[in-house]
Amino acid sequence: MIQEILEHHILDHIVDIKLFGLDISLTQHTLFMMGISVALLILIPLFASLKSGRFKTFIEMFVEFVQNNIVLPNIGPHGKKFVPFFCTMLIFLLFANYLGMMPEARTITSNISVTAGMAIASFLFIVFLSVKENGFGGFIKSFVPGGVPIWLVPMMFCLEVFSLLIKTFVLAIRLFANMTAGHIILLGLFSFIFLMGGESVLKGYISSIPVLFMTLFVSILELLVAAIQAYVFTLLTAIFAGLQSHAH
Amino acid sequence: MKTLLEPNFGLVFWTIVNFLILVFLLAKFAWKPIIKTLDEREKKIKEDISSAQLAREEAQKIKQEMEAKLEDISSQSIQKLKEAQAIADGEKQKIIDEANRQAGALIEQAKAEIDAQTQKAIETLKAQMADTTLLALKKIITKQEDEKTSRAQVQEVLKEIEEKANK
Repeated sequence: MIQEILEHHILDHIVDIKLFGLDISLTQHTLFMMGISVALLILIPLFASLKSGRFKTFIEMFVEFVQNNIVLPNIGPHGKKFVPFFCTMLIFLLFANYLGMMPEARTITSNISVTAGMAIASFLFIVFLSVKENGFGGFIKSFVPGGVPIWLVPMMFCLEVFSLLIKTFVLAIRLFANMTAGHIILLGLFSFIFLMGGESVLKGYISSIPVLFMTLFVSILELLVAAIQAYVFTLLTAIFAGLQSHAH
Repeated sequence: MKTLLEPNFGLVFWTIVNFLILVFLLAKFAWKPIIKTLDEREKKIKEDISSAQLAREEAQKIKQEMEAKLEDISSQSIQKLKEAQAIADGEKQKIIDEANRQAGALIEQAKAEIDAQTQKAIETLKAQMADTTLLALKKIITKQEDEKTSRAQVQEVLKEIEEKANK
């Protein structure tokens, strides 16, 4: 049942589109993601255009937080021009994680395709930053640590390239797993009521009371996880980008 | 469960496209204006701090100048007071000397006057005494023998009187 519910959100094709023979059909998650993007495109410039007020203060604090805690310590002062990238990444993931917790909404970050897309965007940024900072030759060289014996260079190069790919792959898995885990636990807990209710209605009612408190606890935990995972994804992207561009 | 872990190319594609467009549009319409505002504010705060620092240094400098001036004025006033004291002392001494001189002159004048008066009194006394004596002698002489003798006696008596008077 859990599998059916989860798969239902992913496989729901709304508009079928083909690009060079590849299926890029719009699903519920795609549309929800676009909806989040449209909401962000309306809200954030609106907050930014305000003269003063809570929302203006909030958005300024948000930018300062990203700049001073994520970008500058990991990429350095020259990374200031990439603050918009990280701000967008963090706010998008926060919105995606939190809006997914609303009833009838879709948690797009519990979909491996969305987190993979985000991880690929992170990977592209890491490569772009490294090439921009060190040139293409410098980027290739950054995969070989200094002082490595010549006969070890091919192996080290392969290992380092693999390491970068793994890092970004893990970004996708971490976010996906964290966001999915909470939902699976919640569904498991609710299923428990139906399992007990299948035996007798009274058991179903009785079991619903502890399950209610447990789901409340898990939901609060999910609220925390949603913020932490958005932050972790953004922070790790900054750390990897900084490491790759300042390698050796 | 397999579907959950199987990436869907379409969704990956749309995620990347959507995110990159979002980055571009939000950077243009939201983040850059906010960063610009923050930078301007930071710059203004830095300027305010540096101008406050400058003003503080200026105030400190003025304070030091004022203190130096005050000290200078204080030492000058002490000097002026000393000078005034010295002038006053000189004037005082002058006045005292003048008073002393005038007093001395007055004393001298008084002495001279007293001497003159004394001399005059003595002269008058002498004349009166001579007249009186002469009158007395006249009365005596008429009762005695010779006028010449009596005159000589008178002269002798007068001389004695004068000597006594001079003593």
